[in-house]
Amino acid sequence: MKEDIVDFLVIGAGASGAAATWSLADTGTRIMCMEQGDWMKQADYPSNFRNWEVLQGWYPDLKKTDWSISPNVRNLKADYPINDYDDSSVQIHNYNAVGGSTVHFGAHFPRFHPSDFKVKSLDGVADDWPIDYQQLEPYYNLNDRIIGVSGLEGNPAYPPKKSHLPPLPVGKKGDVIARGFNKLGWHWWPADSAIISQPYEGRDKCINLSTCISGCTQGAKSSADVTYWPLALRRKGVELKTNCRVREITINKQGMADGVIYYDEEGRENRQKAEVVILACSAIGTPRILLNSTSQMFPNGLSNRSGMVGKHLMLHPWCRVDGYFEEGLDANIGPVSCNITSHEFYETDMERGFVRGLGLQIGNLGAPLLGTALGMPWGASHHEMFRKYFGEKITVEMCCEDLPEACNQVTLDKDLKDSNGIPAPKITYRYSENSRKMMAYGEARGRELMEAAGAWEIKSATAIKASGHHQLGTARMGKDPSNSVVNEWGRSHDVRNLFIVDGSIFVTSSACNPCSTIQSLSLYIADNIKKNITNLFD
Amino acid sequence: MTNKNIFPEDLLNPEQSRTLEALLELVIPKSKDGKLPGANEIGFHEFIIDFNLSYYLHDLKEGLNSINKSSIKENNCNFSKLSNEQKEILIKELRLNENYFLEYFGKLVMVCYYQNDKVIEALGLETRPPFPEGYHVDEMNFELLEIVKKRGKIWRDA
Repeated sequence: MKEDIVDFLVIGAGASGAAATWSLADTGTRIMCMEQGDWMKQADYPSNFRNWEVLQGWYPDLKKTDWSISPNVRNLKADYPINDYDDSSVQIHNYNAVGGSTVHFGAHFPRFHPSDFKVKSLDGVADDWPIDYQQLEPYYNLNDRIIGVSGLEGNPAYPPKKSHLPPLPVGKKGDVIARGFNKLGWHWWPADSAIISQPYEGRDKCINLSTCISGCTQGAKSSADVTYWPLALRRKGVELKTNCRVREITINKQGMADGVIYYDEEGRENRQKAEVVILACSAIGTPRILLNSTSQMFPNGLSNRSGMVGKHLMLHPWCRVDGYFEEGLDANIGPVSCNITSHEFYETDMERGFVRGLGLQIGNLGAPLLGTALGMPWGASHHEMFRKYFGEKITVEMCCEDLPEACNQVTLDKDLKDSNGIPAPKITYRYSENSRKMMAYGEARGRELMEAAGAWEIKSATAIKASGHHQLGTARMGKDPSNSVVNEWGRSHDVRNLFIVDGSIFVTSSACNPCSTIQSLSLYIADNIKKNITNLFD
Repeated sequence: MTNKNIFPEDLLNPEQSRTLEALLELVIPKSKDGKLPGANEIGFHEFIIDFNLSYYLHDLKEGLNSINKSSIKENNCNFSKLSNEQKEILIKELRLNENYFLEYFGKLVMVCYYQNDKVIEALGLETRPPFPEGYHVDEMNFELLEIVKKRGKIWRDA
């Protein structure tokens, strides 16, 4: 029987895997994507139910639900465990399904700044990327069009760029916090968002469910399952296999990738042969597969001759400040993630006592009733206090740039395994001194902002453990094979038909949410594969 | 619903039921204007069943017994018979000693209370899930951006 060999095998159907598959469909070749999770059902999302606040999974000590942001808490069939408890200051968050973590993300959708690609040249730390903003710009534009980014043109924190849809409404809380920014003379701007503010490409607009992080029942949040996948699956040659978990990538005698070993829904071990393998499993899942793919030729893991696989994990140190304001803000309603952003402290200013910077994000952290009630006193004062606090909170979160350090890394846990017996990842992560100074500075600025905006009470939290949403690094790009895993267009230095398109190839982390850059990079790499298709393995 | 007997007798004995009712009332009493019910009036038993917390019944019984025991030890009287002030003092003392039962119980009461239709309506909110109606949010005033625009470019060339 003739062996079944696909042309491209994409592992992972999240943000980057979906974009790469869609783009590669232009080749007219056979493209298979394998995803360990399944399709989501919008009718199951918490916003369909009265007790949505509990179902969201923010209170796992009260009730375990399928919507927790931690895979260790969810422990669904599609999830693999992550040891983020023994040696990590931060808990990892992800989601495993078609759409990946975009099912769960808040959909704040900023681009990197041009300076983010030249960190070493400009600030003398970390490394420069082997590509720059100008190279990525056409792919940012393409991705914004497919996603349907809502935002306001003219943001002075960026080179000129087009907005496809008007910004999302922010309500009275926007006016209140904007006056605070203006009083201080700080930059602010309505946030770019991967949530459609108007009907777009067959999807209906956001109706302010306020439940973005547990799936958008309306379909207005541009997760990969409602954007790229419907487009990709219309194309000839594209196949998406769900409930398939890849254990390892196999190689032939020439040291080229020749396919994968995976487990199907029933737990049966299978093989799939491929001409080209593309990893799109996040900065945790990708090094996990590479480190699990050992052979005589690659005893320390596939594509790991540099020893860099798993190293330089970056997680965006996070802190927040809550301000409480006068009656009538209705601040609990509206998209959950960033509504207004400030890049006042984004670029390096060494007088602040640290290098690189942070972004401020004004958001609505959801769970309005319980989020308020659980902090209220018992007894006679309960009702009065609840009315005073409910719906009156504005939160500013500080997303701090994390510099790459080899000691922060993903390795394989020696004991922990998933339900298929595949060794699970272990996270080793500590905040650097630079990060600690940045968080302290950010917290102080957050307090200053809330005071300027007129808050009658201000609370804050720093070095937040439950903040590992943005996983970056661990298989970084670079021109030098001795200190990077992939080249400037995502091809493994060691295995010429192996590509990586997810957040693991980031050289530095920036001070903003990475999904826009992850998808744009994936499109850029797929385009380079197409351009070089005739001599791809040279 | 009102519920003098919030749990069937085969689940909680009469004294445990009285302790529970007193404790619920202490966590969230009826509002002064009477518009918001006390936590002892909203069906805690049904909530425990609906919330699939039957595993919690054992801890609940033990916790209630323990509170009553503390009351007898401190005041020589069942918890349910204490004055409001005495109840508050005793519970405050127990909570200061990081009483796990009380903290968990308090969280459950909040979840139960703030999902109850009577409470939601009394707060002036709609008793429905977010989808499909959603909510209205006003546009913000973009004229406030003029000052930001005047300042000009803040990104670095690279």
